[in-house]
Amino acid sequence: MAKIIIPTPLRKFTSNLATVAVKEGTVLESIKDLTKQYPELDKHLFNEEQQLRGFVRIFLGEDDIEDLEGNDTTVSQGDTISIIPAIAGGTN
Amino acid sequence: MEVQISGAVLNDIHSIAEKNYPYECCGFIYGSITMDEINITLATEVINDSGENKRVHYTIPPKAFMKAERYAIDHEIQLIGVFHSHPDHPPKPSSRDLADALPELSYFITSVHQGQALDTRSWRLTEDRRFIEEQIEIIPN
Repeated sequence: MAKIIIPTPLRKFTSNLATVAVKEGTVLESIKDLTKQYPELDKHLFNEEQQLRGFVRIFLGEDDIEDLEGNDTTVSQGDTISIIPAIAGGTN
Repeated sequence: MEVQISGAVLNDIHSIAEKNYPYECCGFIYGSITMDEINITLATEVINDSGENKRVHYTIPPKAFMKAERYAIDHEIQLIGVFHSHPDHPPKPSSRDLADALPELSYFITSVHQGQALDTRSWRLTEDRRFIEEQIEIIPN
């Protein structure tokens, strides 16, 4: 199994778990295994076209998957996937 | 929900806000959450990644968020939210703050006037995407 670190704002949808064990495969398959376990997460992570929403960034270990092979990046046993929301704002 | 914070941690936030003036600062706040109370025990700065826009905008890079999450897990504390400053503006969420806000986080905003931190307020997003203010109680050191 691999594991996914759930960002604090989304833990209410994973019974407050900070990490969830998921199947290996591709990044997309691992995330889909997560949303299969916690279906309420699906609408927060994927849009109507079943693409990852814009504010969601995915890291495999220390690497942004956009610098690897995107959603098709291979996830191996023991890997750590992080779901990272964009944090921004300001005066104007 | 009421937010408790020690005077020392609030001073840390104010010092970071003043140091970065006239630019916006940003960072994470950590602590614990019970059913009806949040207790802030740590604030850590993140370098504002907004480039030329950092007078009026802040950006926390994804890697900084990832490190903050791991720090919280490793130290068995909770990531409570983020703080940032509004140089020469009130400590209220802007439309931009609202547009980019996430649920389940406390958003501390510090107003800094002429380089001096004046006031810090805490805000939380509702399910219908409005900000409501959280009462801050300062615990003496």
